[in-house]
Amino acid sequence: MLYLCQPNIFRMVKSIHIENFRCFQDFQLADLGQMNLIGGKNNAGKTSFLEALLLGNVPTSGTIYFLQQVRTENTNAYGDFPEMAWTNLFFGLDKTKRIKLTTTLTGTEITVEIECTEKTKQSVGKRFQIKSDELIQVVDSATLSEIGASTLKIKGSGKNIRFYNEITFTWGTRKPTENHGGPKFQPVLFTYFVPTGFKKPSFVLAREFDRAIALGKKEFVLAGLQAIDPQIKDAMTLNVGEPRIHIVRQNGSMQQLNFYGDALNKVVDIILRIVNNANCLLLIDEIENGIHHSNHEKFWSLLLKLTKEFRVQMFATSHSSEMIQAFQKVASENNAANEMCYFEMFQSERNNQIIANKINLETLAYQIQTEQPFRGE
Amino acid sequence: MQHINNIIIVESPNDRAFVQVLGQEVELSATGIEIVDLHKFPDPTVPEKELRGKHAIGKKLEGLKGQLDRKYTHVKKIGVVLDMDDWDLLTNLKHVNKAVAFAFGTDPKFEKEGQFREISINAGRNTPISLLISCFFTKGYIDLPNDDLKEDAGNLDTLLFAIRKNPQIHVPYADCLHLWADCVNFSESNLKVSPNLYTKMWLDNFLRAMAKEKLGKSGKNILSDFEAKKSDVILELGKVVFDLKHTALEKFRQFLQTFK
Repeated sequence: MLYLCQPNIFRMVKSIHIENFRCFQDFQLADLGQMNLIGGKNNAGKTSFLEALLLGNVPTSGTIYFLQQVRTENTNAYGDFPEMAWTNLFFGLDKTKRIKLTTTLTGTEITVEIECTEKTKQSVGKRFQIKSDELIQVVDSATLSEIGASTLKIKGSGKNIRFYNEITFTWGTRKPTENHGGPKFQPVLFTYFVPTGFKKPSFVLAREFDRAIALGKKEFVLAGLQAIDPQIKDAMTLNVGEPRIHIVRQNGSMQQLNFYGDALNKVVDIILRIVNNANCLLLIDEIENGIHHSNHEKFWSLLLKLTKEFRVQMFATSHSSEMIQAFQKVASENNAANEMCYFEMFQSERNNQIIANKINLETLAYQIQTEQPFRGE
Repeated sequence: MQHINNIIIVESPNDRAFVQVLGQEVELSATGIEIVDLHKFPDPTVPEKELRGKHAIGKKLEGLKGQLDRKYTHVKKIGVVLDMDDWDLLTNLKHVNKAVAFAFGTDPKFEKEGQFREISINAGRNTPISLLISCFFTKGYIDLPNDDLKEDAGNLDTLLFAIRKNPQIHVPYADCLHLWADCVNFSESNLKVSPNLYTKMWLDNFLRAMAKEKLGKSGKNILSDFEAKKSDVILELGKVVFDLKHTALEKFRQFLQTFK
């Protein structure tokens, strides 16, 4: 009997142990809350941490390919050099070591092991392909890669959990192929990742909004919009051409959501993900992007209310001092020290390992007030 | 560049200045040790008590925890020097125990001053960081209204009052304050001069007089903004006006020597 995602059960990530993934050689984080904010300098490992959470909960070849797209990797090149396809996933770019992600959830644990295997060209056969740019590529194996195929094997286990899948880049191809050589992964916890700068297509947002209306949750979306802009009176989807969300202002004027800038689009996207996906895990990279500092507190208050209401666990990253200060303030005003946790992520100068130091919210307030470092400086 | 091996946390810039002066006396390395105070001037909207002095020690220590992997990678010992105030020793020890437990998750269970406890800090780390931590309380004695002395109480002011050089020499600028204090205390006014306030005012006036007498022109400048410059005067004149070999400093000297 495999674990299936049970949308009515709220499972929280209690801890995660990351080995040999991206910048993490051996990293553990526990003592998590329902809303977790990770602060730190650029390249401290914040995004990689969210990726590990995603991969640890949705360990599929699709997730791997999604991460390559999010990182805007030049996947076209992997057809010529398959050995490059997965290198960035491994700590120290060392593919000989196995990635291991252990996520402890309420009532269960998922262990994901990922390893890379490669075949030489001889073993996969020689291919000559016509690429889409219509140039016939004549390959000289003496000057190009010796690797014919590079495969990532993803294996998972846990209490009532067992799955296996593969993703392979083969020389001369443009996209990876997937293979399920064993039981398919069934999600235990629905997980959503909002990468930095990500803008959901308007028609998808409109569809999600309609779904929220159908589920009777429009009031939450509207309240969220009004928290950011009190002049907003209503919101609706218009199916003229491509369906789009339209905003109605107090003075009766109506305009597409797109015209309101990235902040409102982002806020609507996040609210819709929460209200339409109760009991999920939501990962948001650089949460402050596009949101004016005067709205930070309102945004956190809104997220606190919604994540409680819809039982969503959230992990967000930020390097904005104002965003972190607003988080602390909202946590303090709502006595939410148990729900809202702040972690400072940085690379240790003692042993070069990445560390996430949990800072008590009282201490965070003290550090902010006394101008002491709290973002990995 | 020499690494910082030891940190001593004190309450105020004045304490920091005095620990520096006494540190020189016991030949503490000036470069391997960092003396930090708990006296950042806070946002006026935040209750001062939470951010300054001994009430902030737990938060200060927790703030240091993250810095052990960055600024303080070579630190082996942390010393906490707080005012004894009018708490007894046990209450002060409990306060430090609670602060260390808040910051590092382990109660050091200090039973006396100067005792070192090993603390293992492993939150988020594969290899825990091991530190030695100790505490000491600054104290002198307080003159009680009934002419009794309360020993082992007070703060830096009462300590400095106790160890002033040549106490028999009359310093009118400071000593005449007792006439004013008596006048206030025997009046029917609701305002009274407490022993702590008297000692603080006496010391301030004593240091002002000493600065004027011994520092010449620069001493005169100090008088215009004395509170902010008090620590500079202690640093500058500490050896001259205080008896650093005084028996009242014996335990303090021993404590600082453990950070050599």
